[in-house]
Amino acid sequence: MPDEFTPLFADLRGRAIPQVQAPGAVAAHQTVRRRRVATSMVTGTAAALILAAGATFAGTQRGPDRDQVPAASPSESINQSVSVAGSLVPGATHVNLVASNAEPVFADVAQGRYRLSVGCLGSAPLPLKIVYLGAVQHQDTVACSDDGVVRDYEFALTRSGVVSVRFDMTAQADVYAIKLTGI
Amino acid sequence: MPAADSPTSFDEVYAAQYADLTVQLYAYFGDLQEAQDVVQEAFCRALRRWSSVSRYDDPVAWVRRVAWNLAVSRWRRSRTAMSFLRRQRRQEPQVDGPNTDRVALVDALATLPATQRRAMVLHYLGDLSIAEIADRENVAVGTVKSWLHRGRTGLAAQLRPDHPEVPRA
Repeated sequence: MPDEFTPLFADLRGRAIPQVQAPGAVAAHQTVRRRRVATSMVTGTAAALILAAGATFAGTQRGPDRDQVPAASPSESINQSVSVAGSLVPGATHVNLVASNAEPVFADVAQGRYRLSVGCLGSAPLPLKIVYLGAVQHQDTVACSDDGVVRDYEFALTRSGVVSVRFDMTAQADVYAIKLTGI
Repeated sequence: MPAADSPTSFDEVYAAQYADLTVQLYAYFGDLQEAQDVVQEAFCRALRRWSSVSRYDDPVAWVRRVAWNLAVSRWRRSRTAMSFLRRQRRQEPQVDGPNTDRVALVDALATLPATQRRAMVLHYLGDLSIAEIADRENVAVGTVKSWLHRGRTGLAAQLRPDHPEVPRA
């Protein structure tokens, strides 16, 4: 229902839109192409290093896949996807789109043992790093699926501090859900 | 927005939505260049996964959500710098910058708490209904109504200091 603010905002929109300088869809295509090339070059080198250095660690840290959640329909709303991802990890404190650049952070986590549950939804893998005690402590790639997948990572904090999860810039998974639980 | 009404080609969605999304973020964050950068980045990310984003019943909602999250993330990281830049802009109005009325509204919006400001922008510039905002923000409809009411009152007080109270919609 229009009110006294409707014309104010319409005026703002009307005056601001001519000032907007869109880089253009062509520029977006070029950016994505450039990033793909750069990523494929970096990935080739990094993959060898990660395989060599991380294979043993990954084998010990990967938890079993949890029960799968019914698949979302091909055409769905974002809120549905977020909701489904949230249901993968009951009690998840962080649920968001992977592409949103969010870095889930748990501040002031006390010393002790923890389980970090990471759920993801989407047809592409989700590379992630778990950071605590001021450094990247775990690095893994969750093989997400449209039905949803959950991985558990258990670790000990030898002193209180911040725990955060960083997703790779190239991550193509759709939605994540995360929960940190003391064990 | 139902799927049947949505353009599913990336270029079409970009052409139809880039400016509107940019204005929404500009109204929220007060920085047009930053808003343009963030919306472009959101579209780039959408393009990377367009095969799945275009399957959503409202691909624009995906881009909007990512753009807002990116903007909040950037804003948190550069809060101090942006505050400084805003002060500079008030002292030195740019030739191509917004005019006084527009700055007044954007500045007035900046005084509102984030939830009220976001609700106002999504409602008046994003053309989202109260129910859609509630769904997006994962809160009750009544909460959004309260945000909008307080937002209108706060905005009225900023724009017209003698304005007593905004009646509930």
